[in-house]
Amino acid sequence: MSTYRQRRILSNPARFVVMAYMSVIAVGTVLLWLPISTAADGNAPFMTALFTSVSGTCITGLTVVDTGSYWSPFGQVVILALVQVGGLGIVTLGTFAAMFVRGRLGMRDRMAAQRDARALSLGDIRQLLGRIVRFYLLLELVVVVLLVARFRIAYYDQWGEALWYGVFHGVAGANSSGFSLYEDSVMRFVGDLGIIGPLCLGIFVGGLGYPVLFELKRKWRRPRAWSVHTRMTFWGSLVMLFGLLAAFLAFEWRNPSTLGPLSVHDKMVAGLAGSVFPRTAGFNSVDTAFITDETLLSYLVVMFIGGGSAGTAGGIKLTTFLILGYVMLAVMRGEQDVTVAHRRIGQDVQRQAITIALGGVGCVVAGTIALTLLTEQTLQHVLFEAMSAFGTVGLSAGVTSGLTEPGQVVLMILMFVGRVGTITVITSLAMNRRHRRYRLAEERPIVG
Amino acid sequence: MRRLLATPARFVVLAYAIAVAVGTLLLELPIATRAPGTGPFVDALFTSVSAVCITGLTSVDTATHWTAFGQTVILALIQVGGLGIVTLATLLTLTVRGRLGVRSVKVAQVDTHSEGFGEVRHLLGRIVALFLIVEAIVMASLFVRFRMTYDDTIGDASWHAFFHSVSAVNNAGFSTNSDNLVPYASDLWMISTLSLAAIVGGIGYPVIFELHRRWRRPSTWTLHTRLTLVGSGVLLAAGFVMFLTLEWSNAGTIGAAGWQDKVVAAIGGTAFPRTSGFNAVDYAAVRPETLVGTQALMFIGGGSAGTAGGIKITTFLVLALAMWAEVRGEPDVAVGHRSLASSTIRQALTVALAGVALVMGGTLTLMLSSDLSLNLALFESTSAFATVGLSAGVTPTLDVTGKIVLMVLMFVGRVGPITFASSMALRAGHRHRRYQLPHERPIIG
Repeated sequence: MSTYRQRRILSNPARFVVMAYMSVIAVGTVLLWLPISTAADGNAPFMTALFTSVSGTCITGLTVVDTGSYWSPFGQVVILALVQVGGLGIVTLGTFAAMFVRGRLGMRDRMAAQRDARALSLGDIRQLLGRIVRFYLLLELVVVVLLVARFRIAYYDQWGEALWYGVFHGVAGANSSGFSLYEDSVMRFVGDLGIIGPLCLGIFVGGLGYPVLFELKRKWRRPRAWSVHTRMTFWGSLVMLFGLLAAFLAFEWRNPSTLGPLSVHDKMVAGLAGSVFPRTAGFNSVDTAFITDETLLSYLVVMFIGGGSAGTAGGIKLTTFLILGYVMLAVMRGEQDVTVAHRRIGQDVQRQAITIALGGVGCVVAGTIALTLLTEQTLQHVLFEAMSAFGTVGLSAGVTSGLTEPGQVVLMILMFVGRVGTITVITSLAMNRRHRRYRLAEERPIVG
Repeated sequence: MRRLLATPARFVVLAYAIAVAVGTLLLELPIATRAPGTGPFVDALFTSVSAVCITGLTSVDTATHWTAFGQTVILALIQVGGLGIVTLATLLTLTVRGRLGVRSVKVAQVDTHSEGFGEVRHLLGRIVALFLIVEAIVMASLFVRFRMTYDDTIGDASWHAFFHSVSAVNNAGFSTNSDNLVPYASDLWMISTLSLAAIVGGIGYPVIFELHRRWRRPSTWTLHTRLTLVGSGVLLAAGFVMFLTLEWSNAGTIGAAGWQDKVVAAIGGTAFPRTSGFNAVDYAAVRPETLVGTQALMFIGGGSAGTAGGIKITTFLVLALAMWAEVRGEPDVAVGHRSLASSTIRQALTVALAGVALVMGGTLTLMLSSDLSLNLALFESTSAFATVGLSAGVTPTLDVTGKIVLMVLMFVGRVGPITFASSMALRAGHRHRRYQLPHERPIIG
């Protein structure tokens, strides 16, 4: 039986990923639909349960109801479980897909060999799975401990409360989902580094992706030995972080609705939050509905790019974005090969990057047009919401809570496609190579 | 000087810059403006850039700010910019010296986007002839209408017809009316003539010449022609349907008109954004959805090597096809029994991404320098980059920084991001490595 199932998974990993996520969403929906999940009497509307389940499993954090007051503790535990499953799922599946695509592990060959020998231990995979899960749970633990300590010291007298709030926000943060038990997200902690700091740590590290973290762990002393992937993700993340920090502070410094009234220390802390959260966490420590249009535009870009591959981050991923940049540079310089850090990037990788990026643009544009037709909100807020859903970020400019059911469906589709889409597409791309025994004549249409 | 002109790309950029400079000087003359004395320098510069880059964005009203002399200068700039400044210069060399050096041919190749080395000589004369013929036909049609329906005097009618026909065929979008084509919004004759002129001018000479030679045998058409024609047809139809459905009941634009008038307005609404920039409805009053759709049309633009702007239909289709092939796991990007070279795909990617980056950068700078909302700033900078010239009414209100941003976008959009970048010479000359670096595979997605 297990032989058959494993063969099915291996023959179509893409379908497996989609099915796995759908099942988790279905279970989550049913659980949230139960009467004991809501704080009030009676059960939640089906659409609300479904939306929350999708948002939780896709570790997005967009909500149509207030998490803290609408759901009972049982419902909140369900949401947390969904976030945990979704987060670990995307990291493990992403890592496997990546190794598979890169051919480092040679997984299929190894498994095929095992299948022939009727020895289905799958030891390697279990081992890797164990390492990934251990690592991410450790990260979560660190964040949770820091948060619990801070909550206990500064905000709650009872250990129970501090523990619960610490665990919830720690798990939500380390998995880059923006669920919060407070109706104002983490806005009340805007100047508190003790809360913002651990959250940012969890989001940033978790968003780098397991392959990068694994390599950093082994070779952090020798940056010259890093693989191209690690270099791109690591330096790209840092540049994006500081770039957005500078942009956020510059655009918001005098905005009376956000940073304006704060002290310089608080502004810096808020700036840290404002530059880490949009890369895919979806907490907000200032009110996103009141940020300036310039910040909004920068957020759109950052949300679309997202974080590292095979991590908890969403978006098209840093490597995808950077490879497109290097392709551009090569064309403008008139070079034959696309090279990064003394390595050549293959044409198949270039084409995959194009596919992911353009597919993303297509999804966001289609989603935005659908949403503008369904709501009366301004274009930029609708675009923001669609981008936030696709990048599984979870920042909201206030559109989601007022959406009708068709609008919620649009956002759900965007979240699902944004979470599962890139990894699915990339695996099936690697799987379904067709081989023609002839090549067609080449022709060059005039371009540009 | 020799180093300055080291590459053909640099020569092209310089040629356009010189045309802009000459235009600015002429428009700065006191006789160019109606008001006594010279106009502000930035307006002359802006108008000159807008005309040479055949955009049609205006910071001052063409009808009331400029005298007949000023308008003639604008028209001349449009014509020069539309034909391609290098095309004209090369043609001049050809007539004066009777022969062309290798260098001139190389430069002309860059400007006309032509591939073959030998064909350039024959091409240039035919391009000019084609333009003049189309312009003459359009002008005749417009003249009849202006004279018969709008009761212009013969002089007025011929001037208006002349101006609008040159402006339409070159996809410039300048008009001698203060409110552009709004007075003719329901005039099927005017709108369809100008639409046709814009489409023919914007489809590009390679397609037109090929249709001329082989219109009976579609099976022998090149991939370029097929892609451009199919793409144009689909985009025109999509734009038509979009405009009609979204604006049908919008009281600010065509809501109050009868259904025939709505259809006429929709013809203009789909043909003009791809890239001529006339407007028969007030784009400050259209629905936000229409703005988004119009932006998409503007960004894609028309055919290569024509007067259209944008990233071009072929660029867009090549990228879409590459994506489709990748999703299906095909080893080659194939369309119509031909495969696309990977260098073509990379080039298309570069054009599109550079376009996105320019528009985004322009939008951000516009928002910083003025109080524009995101969608208006985005609309205006897309319009400038794609050399369309539709305006949501904010260009005249911009400060100097905003105008400079739009000018840069228009210039780079017209010259082409790749030509512009290689003229800036990130690294001079082509580099040929005699070795290949080891291969590595980052994780994507």
